[in-house]
Amino acid sequence: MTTPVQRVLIADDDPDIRALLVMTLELSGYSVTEAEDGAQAGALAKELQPDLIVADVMMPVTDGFDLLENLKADQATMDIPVVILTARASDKDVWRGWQAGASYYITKPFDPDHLIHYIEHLDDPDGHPLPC
Amino acid sequence: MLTALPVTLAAVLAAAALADGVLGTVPPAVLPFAVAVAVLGSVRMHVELGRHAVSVTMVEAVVVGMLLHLSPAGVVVAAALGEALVCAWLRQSPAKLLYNVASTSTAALLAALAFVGFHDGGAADGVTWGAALAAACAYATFTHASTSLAVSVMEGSRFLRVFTASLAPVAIASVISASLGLVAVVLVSVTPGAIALVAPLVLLMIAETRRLAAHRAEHLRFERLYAASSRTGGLTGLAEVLGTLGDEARSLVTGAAGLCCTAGADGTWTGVVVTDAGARPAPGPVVEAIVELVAPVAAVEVPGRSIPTTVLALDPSAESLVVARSEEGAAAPVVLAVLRQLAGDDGSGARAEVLAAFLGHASLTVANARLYADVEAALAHQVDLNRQKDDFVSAVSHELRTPLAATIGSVLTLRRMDERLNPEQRATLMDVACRQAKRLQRLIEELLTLATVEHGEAPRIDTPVDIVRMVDDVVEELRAQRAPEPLPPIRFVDDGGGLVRTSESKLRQVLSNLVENACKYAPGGPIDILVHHDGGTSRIEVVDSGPGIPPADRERVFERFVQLDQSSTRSQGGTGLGLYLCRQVAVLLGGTLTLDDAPGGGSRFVLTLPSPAPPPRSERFGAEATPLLAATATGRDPR
Repeated sequence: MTTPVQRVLIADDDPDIRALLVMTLELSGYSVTEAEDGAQAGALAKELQPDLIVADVMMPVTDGFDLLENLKADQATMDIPVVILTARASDKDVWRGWQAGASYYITKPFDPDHLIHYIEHLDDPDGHPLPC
Repeated sequence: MLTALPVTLAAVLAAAALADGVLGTVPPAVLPFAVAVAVLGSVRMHVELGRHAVSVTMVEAVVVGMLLHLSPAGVVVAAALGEALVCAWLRQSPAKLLYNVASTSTAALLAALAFVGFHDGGAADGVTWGAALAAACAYATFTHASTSLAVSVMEGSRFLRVFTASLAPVAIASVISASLGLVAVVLVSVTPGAIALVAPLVLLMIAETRRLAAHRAEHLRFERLYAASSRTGGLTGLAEVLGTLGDEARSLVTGAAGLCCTAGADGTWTGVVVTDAGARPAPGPVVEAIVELVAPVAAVEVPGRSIPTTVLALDPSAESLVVARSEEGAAAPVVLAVLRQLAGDDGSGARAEVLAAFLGHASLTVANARLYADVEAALAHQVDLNRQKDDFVSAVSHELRTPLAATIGSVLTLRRMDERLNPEQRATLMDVACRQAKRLQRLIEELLTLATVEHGEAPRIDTPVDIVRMVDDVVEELRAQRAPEPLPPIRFVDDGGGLVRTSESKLRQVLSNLVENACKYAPGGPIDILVHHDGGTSRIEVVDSGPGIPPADRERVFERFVQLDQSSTRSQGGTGLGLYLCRQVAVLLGGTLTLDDAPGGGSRFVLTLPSPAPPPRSERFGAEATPLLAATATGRDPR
C-alpha cells in the first residue's frame, strides 16, 4: 500500500484549466505544483517526486503522451500514477493513453469531483469510478 | 561476342582444310570475282523483321561461277573480299563487318568443300553443274542462318521464327540467281554473246525479288501491327504508355530510335524517345522539330538529308525518318516518329501507312492513360479532402471541449464548494467561466462564418464602405471590449479618402480580427494602420511592433487551428480560426491577405482589395497618430 496522495503535479498549457485544477485540488487538501508544458512537467516530476501527476495531452514542447512514456521509462518516475486529462476523446487516443501506462484517463469537459474521487480512492480498486 | 562464333568457326574450318591440302592456291582471277560479289551484294533488298532487317542479295550467281573457276581457297578469299567491300560501301560498323565477313567466309568454305567433294575435277558435265548449284544453295542457307541468328539475338526473338519469316524471298532469290549464274557461266564458255540472253532475265529477276521482299516485309509489318496493338491496349501510366508506343513504333517500321509525343491539355507537346538503351524523355527542341515536320492526319517517310539536325542528333546514322501525326479531333493528339538506319525504298509509303494505322490506336491508348491519371488524381483529392475533414472535425472537437471544460468545471466548483470559497476564489472561477464561455461563443460564431465562407458564396460587393469610419468603429469596439484594460496606441494613416466598394460586414470582420491580433501580440503598441489607394486596388496594412513571426511560419498562421504560441493565444481567448477566416474572406472579396516583416521587427498584415473607383483625397489620423509617421508613410514631409 502506497502512501495517500498529498502532493499533485498538474501539467496543462491552458492557464484557466490550471487555475481551476489548482483551486479544486487545494480545496480538497492537496498541495499542487503547476507545469505549463510537457518538458517542464517531466523535469518537475523528477525533482519533486509528486504522489500523482495530472497531465493534458496537447501541450507545447513535449505532449502528454510523450511525457507519459518518458515518465514510465524512467526508473525515478515510473511508479508515480499519471492521470491523463485531455480534450482528445477518440477511442484511439484513449487506447494510446492506457497503453502508455496512464493510471486513469479523463476527457474534457470533466467534473472536477470525478478527479478528486479518483484520487481519494487511488488505493482502493473497488472504489474507482468506471474508466471512461 | 556474337561475332566470335563465325570467326572461330571459319578459323577452325580453314585450319582443317589447310591440313588436308584441299584448298589449293589463290589465283589472280579472285579479284574480278570479288568485285562481282561486291556489285551484286550491294544491290540488296530488305525483309524487315521488327527493329532489324534481313537483306536479300543475288550473290549466289557469282558464287556458282567462283566454284567452277576457282580453287576453294580462291572462293573463300573472293567471297570474303567481296563482302568486306560491300560492308565498307554501306558504312557498316566494324563488328558487323567482322561478323559478316567471317560468316561469308565460312559459308564460302563450306560450299567450296561440298563442291570439291561432289565432283572429282573431271569434265564440265551435269554432275559438276549440279554440284555447283547445290553448293551455291548451301552457301545461301548458311549465310541466311547466320544473319537470322544475329537478328534473333538482337531482337530477342526465337531463331527459327526469324529464319522462317524471311526464308521465302531469300530461298527464291538464291535458287533463281544460282541457276541464272550457272546458265550464264556455261553459255559464256560457249560464246560471250550469250550474256545478252541472260541479262533481261536477271533484270526481271531482280525486280521480282524486290517485289517479293517488299511484299513479305509488308505482310510481316501487319502482323506486328496486330501484335503491337494488342500489347499496348491495357497500359495506364502515361510515361509507360509513351515509352511502349515509341518502342512498338520503331519495331513496326524497323527503326533504331522511336519517338512518341503527345500534347497536354495546355497544348504543350512532350515526348519520350526509345532506343536500345531504353526510354527517356525527349528533349524539347526535338519534340518541337518532329511536331512541326508533319501536318495533322499525315504520315510520311522523310529521307536522311531532310531530317532536322536536332532530330538527327538522336541517331546520326539514320537514313530515313517515318513520322505520323493524329488528326485534330483525335482522342489525344499524338505524333509518332521513327529514325531508320535503312534508306527509304519501295516500302516507304507502306511504312508510313502502317505507322498511321498504329497512330489511331496510340491516340486512344494515350487518351486512356490520361483519363486514368485524371481519375486517380480526383480520387486522391477526394481522399485528401476526406482526411482534411476528419482532421477538422477532430480539431473542432478539441477546440470546443477545452473552453467547455474550463466553463463547466468552474461552474460546478462554484456550486458545490460555495461555502468553502473565499471571495477572491469565487471571482477567479467566475472570470474563468465567463472568459471561456465567451471563447466558446466566439468559436461557434467563427465556425458558422467558416461554413458560409468555405461554401464560397460571394457577398454583394456593391456597398461603398468608408474605411476611415470603419477603422474608428473597430478600434472603439475593441476599446469597449477590453475596458478597463487600455488599448495600445493606434496610429492611423489614410493617403486619400476612404471609400472602398466592398462588403461592409465582411471587411469589418477582417479588420477587427487583424487589429485585435495586433493588440494581442503587441500589448505595448504602437500599432499602425495604413490605407493606401493605388489605381484599382486598396491596400490596408496593419503593422504591429510585437515579436514578429519567423518567415518559415508566416504561411502557417493562415492555416486552421494553428497557434504558434498556444498558451498566449489561449490566454487571449483566441480560437485558431481568426487568420484563416480573414484570408478566406479576403479572397472572397476578390483580394488577398499576406504577412511580412514590419520595419521595426513586428508583423505587417497586408490586405489588398479591388476598389473600382478611387475615392477623393483626404487625410486623417487616429487619436494617437504622430505627424512624423504620417510623413513616413505617405512620403511627404509635413514641415
